[in-house]
Amino acid sequence: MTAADLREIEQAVTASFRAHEDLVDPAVAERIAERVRVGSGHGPGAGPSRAALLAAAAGVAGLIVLGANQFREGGDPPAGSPTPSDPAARASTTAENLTAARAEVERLLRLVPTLPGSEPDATPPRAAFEKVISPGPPGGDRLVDRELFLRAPGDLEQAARFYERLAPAGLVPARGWGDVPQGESGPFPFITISYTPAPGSPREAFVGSGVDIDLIRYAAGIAARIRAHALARPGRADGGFVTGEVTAVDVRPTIALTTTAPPARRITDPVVIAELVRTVNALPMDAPLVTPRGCGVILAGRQIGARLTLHRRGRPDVVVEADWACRNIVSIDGHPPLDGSDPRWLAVRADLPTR
Amino acid sequence: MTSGDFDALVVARSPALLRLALMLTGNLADAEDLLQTALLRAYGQRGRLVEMAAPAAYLRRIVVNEHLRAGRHAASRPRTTTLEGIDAPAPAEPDPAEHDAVWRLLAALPRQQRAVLALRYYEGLPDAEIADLLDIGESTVRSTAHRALFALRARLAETPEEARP
Repeated sequence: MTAADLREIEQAVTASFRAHEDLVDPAVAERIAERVRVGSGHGPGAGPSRAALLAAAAGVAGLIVLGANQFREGGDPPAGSPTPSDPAARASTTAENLTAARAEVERLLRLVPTLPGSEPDATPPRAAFEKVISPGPPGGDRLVDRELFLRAPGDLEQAARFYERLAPAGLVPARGWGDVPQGESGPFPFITISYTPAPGSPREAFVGSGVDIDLIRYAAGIAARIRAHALARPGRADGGFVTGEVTAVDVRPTIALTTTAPPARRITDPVVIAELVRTVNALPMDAPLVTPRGCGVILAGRQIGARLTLHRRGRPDVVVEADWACRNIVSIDGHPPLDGSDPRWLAVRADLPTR
Repeated sequence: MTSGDFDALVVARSPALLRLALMLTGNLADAEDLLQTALLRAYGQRGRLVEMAAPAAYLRRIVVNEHLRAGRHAASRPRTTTLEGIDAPAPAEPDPAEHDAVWRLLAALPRQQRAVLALRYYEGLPDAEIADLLDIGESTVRSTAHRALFALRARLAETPEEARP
């Protein structure tokens, strides 16, 4: 590389950085700073009541995390803390949220362009996909999804171009085949894309949405399954979720999603359980510290990704992953309604960070 | 510096830190996450930071280190793509004018390479300061920057001419 080449690329890099700095809204940065200050316990609300809560929960590290007074039922949020939602806004019902999530799924499918020569398949090779690719989270009352099967001529090169067609829509990074985030299930490539609802979208209605694209060799060519999904929130008007008969809570003093979790500690104190349940109810909602753009929940000064295990009477446990740390990838795996209508809830286990 | 001064400093510096985070991560959502994570760490050390002579520089260091640290743990996490702001089907072919080829290529660089470039060409730091911030040698800063620039130039050469800056 000559000195002139070097200068040219240096100038291009500098210009690119400068061209993007205006994307930052200073007010957003200041809001994040304020949110962290309050959430880390340095806000004006960090007073005796919080200290008392922490002391009451001493020894139960996970529940210390949950003891932030922002979630105390009926309590006023600390002065200066972020406003959870417009108090004048009417709380939505679960049914309304499901309707909004369905609309989101339809919108996502409309974003998927069709490769020339491809057409929606009237006899989708569903079984062929399911042999090689996990079908993903099962559908349920809260998970709205639809599948679109396409059969494209050609081979994997054609599939590569299919990916590239998606790039301008932002469905995949505009980088081409090799850099597209993908996984392998046997010899078959697939891609899963999730995203955070756009600003202004009915955030109260659904937690997250996404598009999954699976490609397989099928017959003489490539078949694509495009699946759009949206996870509706339980309606606040319906009372949130996880109510009913909570008899015990296991708290693992570990960070969520670690593979070597230490033994859980069972909590039976009804006061502490009640606090936990209120917190769990608040987690997937527009709670004060659930941030508007995929940043994490801050509890007791920590950004958390919570994994909750719901113990049900007479049925297998259900794991609810609320990974708020990055872009709201949230999944609820095979659950019955979480709106309190199911009397089989026995307990909630929360794997939360303690350090 | 009092705790109140520190709070004010954090708020005052947060836009600049978010800009740096954007240059490091390449997109706003990740930048906001990075800023939040970094500030959480800073508040965890607030007692120490208020005693420092240059806490603002230390805030920048935390942002960069958190970015590099997150990269070491990123491999096991699902990668996602933001679809915000997209309301209509895409055009059949990409519009090169809408894409900054250099920005996209920067995003494809290893984190440390991008960090070095951001600190050198956006923050305008001398190599010695970058070396101190990244806890590497000055010669490593120079070689990392050279490798990054060389890679960028090579990849840019493969980019269609109309998409180049």
